[in-house]
Amino acid sequence: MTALSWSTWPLAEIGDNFPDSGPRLNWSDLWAYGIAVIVGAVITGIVMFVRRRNDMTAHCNNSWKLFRELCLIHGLDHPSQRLLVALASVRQFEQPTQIFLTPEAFDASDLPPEWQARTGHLRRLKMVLFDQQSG
Amino acid sequence: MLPLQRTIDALAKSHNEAATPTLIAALSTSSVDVFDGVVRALCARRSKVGHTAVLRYWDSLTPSQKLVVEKGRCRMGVALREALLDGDDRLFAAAHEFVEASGDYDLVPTLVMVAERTCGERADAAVALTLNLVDQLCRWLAADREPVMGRDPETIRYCVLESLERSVERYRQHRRAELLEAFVVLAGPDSNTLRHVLDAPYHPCHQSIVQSLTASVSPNILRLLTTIYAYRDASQAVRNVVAKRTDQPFIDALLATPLDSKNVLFHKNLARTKSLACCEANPAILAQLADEQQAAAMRLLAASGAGDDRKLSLAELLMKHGPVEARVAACDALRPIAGQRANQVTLQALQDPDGEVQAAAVRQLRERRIPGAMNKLLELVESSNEAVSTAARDALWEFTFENYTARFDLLDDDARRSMGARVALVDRTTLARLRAELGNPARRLRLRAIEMIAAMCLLPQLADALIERLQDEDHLVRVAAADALQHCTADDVRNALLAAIDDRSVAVQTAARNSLRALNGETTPGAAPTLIGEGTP
Repeated sequence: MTALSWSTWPLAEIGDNFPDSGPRLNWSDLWAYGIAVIVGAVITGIVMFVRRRNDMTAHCNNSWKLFRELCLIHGLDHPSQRLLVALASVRQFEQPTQIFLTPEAFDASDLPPEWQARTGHLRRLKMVLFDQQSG
Repeated sequence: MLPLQRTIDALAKSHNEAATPTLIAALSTSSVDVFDGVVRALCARRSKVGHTAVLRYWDSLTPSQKLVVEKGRCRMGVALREALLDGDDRLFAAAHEFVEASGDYDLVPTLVMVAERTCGERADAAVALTLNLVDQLCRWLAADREPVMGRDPETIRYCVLESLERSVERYRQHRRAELLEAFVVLAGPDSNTLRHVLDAPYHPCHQSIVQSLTASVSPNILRLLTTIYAYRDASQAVRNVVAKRTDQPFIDALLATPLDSKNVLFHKNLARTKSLACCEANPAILAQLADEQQAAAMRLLAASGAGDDRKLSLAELLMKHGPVEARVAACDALRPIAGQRANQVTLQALQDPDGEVQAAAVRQLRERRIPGAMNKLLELVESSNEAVSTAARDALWEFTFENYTARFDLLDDDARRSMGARVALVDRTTLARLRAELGNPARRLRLRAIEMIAAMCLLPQLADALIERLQDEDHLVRVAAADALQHCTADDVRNALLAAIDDRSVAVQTAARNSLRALNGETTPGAAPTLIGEGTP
């Protein structure tokens, strides 16, 4: 604080000797600008992140991105995507995308009992991913 | 598009590297459709790991799946190279089979590297595959056909040859003669490197390449050997190989090479070859040769620098046991060889049952200055065999009507008769030319033609032309014709002479009467002439 006051003292003297100079800008006035810049950077970062996340043409090695890419191609909704993720987890696939190439994984007979309620959804998904003719 | 197809396409084209492990994991699927798609997607991606994974499944792929993999070979080079160089046995076998099936010439340098490594099954397999690929390439080059991969064979040859030339430079280290053979086959007769090796007996590869040329029965090697020998300035090493080889494939290749008189290099190489083992008088070798081949062997030996004794031995053998073509070739081969032995074979050929062989002997009879050759030739002019007759006429080339006409005025009567008889025998145009001469506008030439007819004893054959001359405008010609006709006995001659008695010229009348008298005609001077056929019942 002492150091700050020593460094700002000559500036204060110079400004004070001009009668019509108006109120002088202090360091504290920059906070607003700083916050605006930070918010802008955060927004830009988020936009870039989202754009990059959805840019399927960029080179990368991300299995979840590939999963989303395949979901987009097949037009799967969020519940279906969540179901596929859960199924891949239950089937202990190393890559979640393996579910798109494993039709036998949709067979509910060897799944835990709580999956029996979702048998219909699984059957529909299997048809969408493997059997159904697309218009 | 089926949803699975969409998934496969997306994974094949995705820029996300995570697609590769996903696809590799799916290779263990039990679904045939999924497996097909996964193989296709992995081959379409540029991923060495993915391609290696597919190669690991090579044995279990169906032919159609293998075809899909082969189509993706342009992206699989790295994986294949690694499989060949450092892969385990299964990967090596898969890569080997893949290259064999697809004919991927980009991998030849890798195969050469494997082949140059220490001996073993892999090196042997790599050598065999390299030779197969080179053979296939040579077939494409020979057929001038675009290979299935759509690349220019000459470009492929250039690339493969470059790696083989490097291998030749490393021959001291690897000692793989098969690689040298592949190089020799592909290098062709115009390769400077090959020529340099063949010309340098102390080159590390010289012995091995000469050994390949000596022992190999590969059609490509044989083609190269015969091409160098027949169409290039062959080095000593090549001439030695050609001189020594007696195996059937080589003989077939050499004897199929046409011996064109315009092919200077072939004749030059032959002349510098002092022996040709495959063309020697060896009954065992000759027995294996077809008729035309025996003739070709005789022609090659005749053109070679071999001694006359060897040529005569083969000619004698062929004259005794050879087919017609070979006997003719043997006879022709005797032509430049002088001496008693060659004369005997020629005379033996005159007794040959085949006219072509006789004709070949007749053509050289005069050159040999064999006693009685002229009379024999004149005798053979009348041979029933057209070839013999023509050959005899060709041999008696100076007995032409032109020569006779040119010299006629200079000859005495005996010479006119003897030479005229020979010309009439030898020159087939004599009668026609005499007829033409009889019609010549110049009186002197017409009179000379009548004289020549008489000297050649051709009066009976030209009686009709002489009868026409009885109507000649010039009375001297008519007199000569009437006089000459006394030697013709045909009925129309007699009638023509009877008619000539009424000629306005007394000289012609007298000549006609004399001729009729000579023909034992009954017509008396002053009596009315009786035409034969009119006066007799």
